[in-house]
Amino acid sequence: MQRGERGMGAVQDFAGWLGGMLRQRDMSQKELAQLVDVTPAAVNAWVNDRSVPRYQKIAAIAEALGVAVEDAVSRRPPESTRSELEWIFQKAPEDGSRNGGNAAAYAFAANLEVLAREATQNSLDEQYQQNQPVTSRYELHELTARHLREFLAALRWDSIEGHLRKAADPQQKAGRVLVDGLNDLDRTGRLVLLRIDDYNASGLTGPDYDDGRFARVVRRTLDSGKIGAQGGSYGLGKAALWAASRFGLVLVNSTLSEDQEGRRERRMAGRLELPWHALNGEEFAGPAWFGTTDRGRNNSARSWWADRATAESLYLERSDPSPGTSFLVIGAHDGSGDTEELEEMHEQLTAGIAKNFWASMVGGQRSGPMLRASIAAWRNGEVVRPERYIDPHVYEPARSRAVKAFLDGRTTTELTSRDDVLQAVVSLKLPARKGPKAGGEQRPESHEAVLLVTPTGEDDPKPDHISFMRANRMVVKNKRVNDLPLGHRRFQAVLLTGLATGNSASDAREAEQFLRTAEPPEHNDWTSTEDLTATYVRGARQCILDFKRSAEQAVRDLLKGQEEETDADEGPQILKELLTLDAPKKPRTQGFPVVHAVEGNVSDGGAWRVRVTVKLPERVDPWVLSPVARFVVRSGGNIPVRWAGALVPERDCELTKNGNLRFRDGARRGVFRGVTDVSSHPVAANMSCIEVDVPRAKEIVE
Amino acid sequence: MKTVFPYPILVGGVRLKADAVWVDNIPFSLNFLGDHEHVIALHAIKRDWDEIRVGVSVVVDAEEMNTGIWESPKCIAYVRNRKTNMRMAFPLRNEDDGNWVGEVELRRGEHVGRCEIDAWIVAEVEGVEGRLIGRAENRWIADFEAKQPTRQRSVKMVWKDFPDHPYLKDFRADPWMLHADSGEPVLYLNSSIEGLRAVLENSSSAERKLVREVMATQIASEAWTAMFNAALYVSSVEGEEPVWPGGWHEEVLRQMLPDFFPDMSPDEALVELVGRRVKGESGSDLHARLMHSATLHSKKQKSVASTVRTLARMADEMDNS
Repeated sequence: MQRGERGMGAVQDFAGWLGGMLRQRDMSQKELAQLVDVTPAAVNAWVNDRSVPRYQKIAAIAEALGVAVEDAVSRRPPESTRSELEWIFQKAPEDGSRNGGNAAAYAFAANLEVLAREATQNSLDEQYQQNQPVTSRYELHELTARHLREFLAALRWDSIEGHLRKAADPQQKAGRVLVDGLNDLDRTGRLVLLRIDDYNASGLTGPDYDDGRFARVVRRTLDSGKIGAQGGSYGLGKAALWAASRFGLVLVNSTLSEDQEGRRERRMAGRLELPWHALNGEEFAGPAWFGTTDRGRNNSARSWWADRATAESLYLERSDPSPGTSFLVIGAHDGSGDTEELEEMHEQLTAGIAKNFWASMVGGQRSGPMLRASIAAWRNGEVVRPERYIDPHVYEPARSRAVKAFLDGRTTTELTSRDDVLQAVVSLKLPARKGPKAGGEQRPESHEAVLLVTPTGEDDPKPDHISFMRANRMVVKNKRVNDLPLGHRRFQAVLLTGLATGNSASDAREAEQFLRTAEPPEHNDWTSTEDLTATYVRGARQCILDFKRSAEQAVRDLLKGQEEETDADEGPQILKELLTLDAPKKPRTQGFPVVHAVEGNVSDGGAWRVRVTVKLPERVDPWVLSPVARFVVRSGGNIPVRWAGALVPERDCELTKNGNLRFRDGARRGVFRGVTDVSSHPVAANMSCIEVDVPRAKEIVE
Repeated sequence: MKTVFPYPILVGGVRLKADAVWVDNIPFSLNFLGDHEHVIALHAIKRDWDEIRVGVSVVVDAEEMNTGIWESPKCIAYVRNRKTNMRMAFPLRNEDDGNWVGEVELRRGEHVGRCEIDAWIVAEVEGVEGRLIGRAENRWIADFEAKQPTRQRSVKMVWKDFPDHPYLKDFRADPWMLHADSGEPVLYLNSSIEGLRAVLENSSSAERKLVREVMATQIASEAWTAMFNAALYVSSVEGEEPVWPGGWHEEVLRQMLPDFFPDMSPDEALVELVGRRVKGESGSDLHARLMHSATLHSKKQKSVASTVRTLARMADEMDNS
C-alpha cells in the first residue's frame, strides 16, 4: 500500500511510531537498547529518523514492546488489552461553573421510537457504497446474574459506579433519571443493553481529536458538521443515543471505511455523560471517556484498537467486516416510561423503524432499497426474538406499494384497480439565497416534486394521510389531508421531493438543500426555521407553505375525478329527490307482527321442530295470528308446509278454536312452538331451510 | 324474515368486494366503483361493448371456517339479473385461508338495467355436498344505466317537445306525462311550454322557489299515483300467497304499501290489495289510501306547510315596505 493513499489516517514513519510506543509503554531508549541488544545511540538514531532498523531488528523491537510484528512493520498502534483500559473523568473547571447535563440530550423526547429514528437516519446519511443498501441491525440484550456481573466487570463498572451515585442528584433532571436507573439496577439486578449497528456505512473515521466523524460523535455535543445537503449526520441526533441510556453511557465499536493509523477494525471508545459532581473531595465536570490513557495529553483517554475478546465481552463484536459503527446503549430505557419489558421494547423499536423508514426499505426495478433493518432480542445469551428483517410491505402496505410502483415505473394516471398508483406533479418554488450571487451560474427557480396516491384498504387505521420525504426517504412528516371531497375513496399519499424524485439535476439538489434547511432539528416538518430565514431571502417561508398546500390540493384533485357532471336532459334535481325508487335502507318501525327469532332442528322423523318468538306492535285489540312455515327456495315464492297437529303456545298466547294463536292484550312478545307435517314437505327437511311467517288470521276476534 | 338451517352455518361475515372492471378487456376507471354503496356504474362506457368482466374477492373468517364441521369449502360468485331472469355462477379460486378471488362475466345480451353480484360459500356438511354455509353480507350492483356509483335511483325524466313527438303529440298542451312502461317508467316534461323548464330548474327569487316547490310536489304526487296503479295491475295472488311483480313495479309497491296498511306485513298487504281490486269493491277506501301514500311520497305535507309560511312572510314584507 502506498503512502498517502490512506487519507486522513496517513501512516506515520517508523521514528514517530517508535517514539510514540516508547512513551506509551513508559520505556526509555536505553531500556529498549538493552532488550534488542543494540547501542543506545542506535535506538536514538531510529527515534530521530536518522536510520531505520532492518526487518530482524524490527521483529525484536516488537517483541520488546510487547506488540505484534505486523504492528511494527505497518507502524500502527497495537491492539490494546483489557488491562490498559480505563475511565477518565473530566475535571471541573476552575471557575466553579457547573454543568447539569448534556443540553443536546434534552432536545429529544427520549423514547425508543425517537432513538430508532435518529440512529437510523444517521446510518442512512453515512451510507458508504452508494449502490448498496445500508444495513441497520438492532439487538436488545437483557442481562442478569452471571451475565450481568461479567459485563459490568468488562465495563469497569467499579470505577464509574461511585461517580454515578454522586451525580445522582434527585434535584436535577439528569440526576433523577440516574437515581431511578441505579435503584432499578440494585432492586432487579437486571440491565438492558441496546446495540445499534450499521453496515455499509462510513464508520467513525478521522483522528481522536480535531474534526472527523469520530470526534464528532465521541468528543463534541452540539456540533453537527453537516456535509452538503445531508441531514445532520451525527448532529444533534446522536444525543438521542445518550438520552436513551439511564446512565448516559454509550460505547462504540467502529469498522472504518478508510485507514486510521494503519488500522480499520475495532476502533472502540466509550463516553459517559454525567452532570457536575464531586467525589472524594475532587470536583468533576461530568463527562468521562473510556479508552487508553493518552500519554501525549493530560488526563484524557483516546479510542483504542480492541482485540476480539474485549469486543465480545462488551457485546460489541461486529458480525461482518463491512464498515460501519456499532453503538451500545447501556441501561437502555424508554424515557416515556411506557415500555419496560424486553418484548415491548422490541415491539416499539420495530414499530419506530417501520413507521419512519418504510419508504427507505422499499426497493424497485429502477433502484434497490436504501436500507435494510433487522431487529432481535436476547436474554442472557438466549434468543427471545430471533433476528428478522422488517418488511415495509407488511407495516405500510398501501404506501409501500406506491413507492415501489414509482421505483418500478408502473404508476398510472387513472385508477383501474385497487393496486394502482396515481402519479402527479407538485411544484416547489425555490427562493433565492441571501448574499452575492455566484457569477454566471443559473440557479433553478422551481422543482417538480412527485406525488403518489393509491387506494388503501378498509382496515387501514389511519387512511387519507400524506407522507413527506427527501433523499433518504425517511418520513419527515405524516399528516391527514384536509377538506377531502365527500364520499371519496380511502387513500394514502406520498410526496417525494429533491433527490427522492430520482432526478439529480440542479433543481433537485437545490430543493433538497432548501427543504433540509426548513427542517427543525428533529427533521419532522418543513417549516420556518432560523436557519431558513438566515439562508434564504424573504418569502422562503411562503414557498414552503404554498408547497405543502398545493400538495394537498393535488391530492384532492386526483380524488375528485368522480364528481358529478350535471346532465341537462336528466330532469330537475328537485323532482329526482321526490321520485327516488329505492326502498329506504332502514325499515320504519313496523306496524305489524314480525318474527323476532326462530330456533329449530330436524327431528329423527324428518320434521322441522321450531320455537318462534314473535314481536308485536302495540294495539288496542289482541293480535290473532295464523303462523305459516315455508321451505325456502332460490327463486319464486317459498313453499308453505302444514303444521303437524296444533301449535303449542308457550308464552303470552293461547290457541283459538280455529287453531290460530291469540296473543295476550298488551303483550309485546310471545313464544310458540310447532312441528311441521312431513307429508307436506316438498323435499326432505334436512335438505331444506325453513322460514316462519306470522300473518294475521282470517277470523273474527271473539 | 329469519331463516333456519338444518346444519351450522358461518356466523362471521362474508365480505364481497369488487376490485376491478374490464370492458372488452380494457381496464375501466375505479372511479365508477362505489365502495360505500357497493355499486358499479357502467353507464360511462362510451363504446359498443360485448363483455364486461368484474374482478371480485371474498373474505371470510378463516379461523371459524377451519374449526367448523364444514369440509372442502368453495366460493362462487353469483350474478342475477331480475329483468332478464339471468342467473350465473362463477367459481372463485382460493388464494389463501379464507380468501377467494376471481372474475364474473357480464355479457351484453344477457343484461338490462342492473344486475346483482352475490357470493356464496358452499361446503360439504355431514356428508352432503354443496350446502350453502354463508352468503355475502353486502351484495354488489352492476348498474348499466347509472352514471354515478350510488344506489339511489330516481324515475327517469326526459324533456321533450310534446307537439313534435309521435306519441306525446296527443297530449301536446300537457305540462307533464308519466308513461308507465313495464320496462321502466318515464316522466316526460313538456319543453314546448315556455318557462316551465326555467321554473323547475332555477329558483332565482323567493316567489319562483315557492312555485317550483309546489309544482314539483304536484308532479311527484301524480307520478306516484300513476306508477302505483300500473304496479297493482300486474300483481296477483296464487292461493294465499302473493305474487310480486318484480322490477320497478315491486319497488313501487314495497315503498307505498306500508302507508296503505300500516298494520300488515308487505305480503299480507299485497294479498289484501289484490283481493279488493278483484272483488271490485267501490274502491273509495283504496283511493283514499292511495292519495295518502302519494301525499307522503311527494312530501306534500311539508311542501304545503312551508308554502303557507313563506306566503305569510312575503305578505308581511309587503306590508312593512
